[in-house]
Amino acid sequence: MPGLKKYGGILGRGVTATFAPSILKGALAELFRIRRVDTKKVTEWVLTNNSLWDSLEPERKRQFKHLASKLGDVDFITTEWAINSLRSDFPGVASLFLGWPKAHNWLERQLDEIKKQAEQSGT
Amino acid sequence: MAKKAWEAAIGEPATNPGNADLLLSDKVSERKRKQITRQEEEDEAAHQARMAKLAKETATSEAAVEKTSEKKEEGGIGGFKITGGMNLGNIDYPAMLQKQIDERDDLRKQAEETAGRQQQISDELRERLHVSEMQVLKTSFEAQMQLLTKMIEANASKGGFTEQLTAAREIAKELGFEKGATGAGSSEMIQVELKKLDFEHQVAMRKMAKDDRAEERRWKLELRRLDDERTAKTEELAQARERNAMFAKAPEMIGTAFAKGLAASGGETEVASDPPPVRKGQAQAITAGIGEGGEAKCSQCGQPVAVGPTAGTAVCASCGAKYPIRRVQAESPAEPEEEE
Repeated sequence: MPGLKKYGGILGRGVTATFAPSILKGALAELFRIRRVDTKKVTEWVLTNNSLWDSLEPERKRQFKHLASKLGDVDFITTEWAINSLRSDFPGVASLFLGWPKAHNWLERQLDEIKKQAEQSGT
Repeated sequence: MAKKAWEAAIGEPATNPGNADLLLSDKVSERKRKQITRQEEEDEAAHQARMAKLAKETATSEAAVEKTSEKKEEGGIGGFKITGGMNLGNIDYPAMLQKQIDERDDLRKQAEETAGRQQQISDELRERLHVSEMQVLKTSFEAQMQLLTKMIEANASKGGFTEQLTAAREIAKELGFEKGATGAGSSEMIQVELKKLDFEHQVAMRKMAKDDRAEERRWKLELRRLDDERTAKTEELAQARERNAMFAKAPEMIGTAFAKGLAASGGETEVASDPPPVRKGQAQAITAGIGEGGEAKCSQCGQPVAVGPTAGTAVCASCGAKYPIRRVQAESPAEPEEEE
């Protein structure tokens, strides 16, 4: 019974933690859509080394921390994960992160900062 | 005896000896030598005098030193001893003050007297100046009167005063300056005044129209600015509303993402999808200006490919095709173009 085994694994790890990457992927794409993020805007952020975490409103920061405390381990948040999350909805932005090393490094820094904040909320 | 050229030129008789030049130069040399010798003697004498003076001063100084040493030996202890006292006396400040006040009053009196004298002198001088000016005026007036009298006497043959006055009036009339003349002259003046008023009126109207235009322009600009502000506020509100709606719909969104994730992974919990397959074949280069970024279209899958301002390669996120970027000097700020 492979199906049962799979669902057993899900329940064993916790439903939220199991689907955390999927949940955050949807959230990231939605956030980009709401903010009307495009290649030009990301290029500006990269060139000015804009901090994504600092640009979030305090309320959103609280919500994210709350969500992160439920998600548990956030090690899956990597640049590859972020690029894959954006690939279908924002192919231009994903392409920028893939082809431009400076943008890739910037994304890495932003994700590290976000992870750090998430870990602080978890402890 | 040969006559020299300059002697011939001045017509002097050749009475000088033949070796006159040589003799002259010898004499001159002799005189110079004597002068030098005398100077040396004088210098020597001055030097001797100075040396003698110096020797005398040295001897005096040594004698003084010896005398001091003897005194020191007699005293037993070196250095000086000052004895005695000094009476600074009593200072009477009220007396000093009174004295100073008296002095000040005296000085004030003197100043007042001097000022009075100066004023008197000034008045006298002014009076004299006035008298002098009056005399000058009187003299000038008398001179002018005399001149006028002479002129009248000289012009008496040219007709009487009335005739001359009439002639002058005629000339003035021809020039249009005759006073009291009614008719064409005054009419022209009125016309001129009217034209002047008309011109001023036109200028005022033009200025008013200009002000109106400026005001209208300012008003339009203000309206546009307000309109822009309204648009910006509306957009901001819309964004805020959208953002709030998004976060209000957070559970729903999470659910959607959850469902999407599940659908994409076919029920698998790992969402890290495989990287897109890399297309084979030589990808075309993308030409972009130096420091320029933007988007191009992937020639293989049609998806947008982003070009970073300092990137050397562009990678299509959908199909993985790689495009080398060729940087050229940008002529115009155009979007990067895909090379055919």
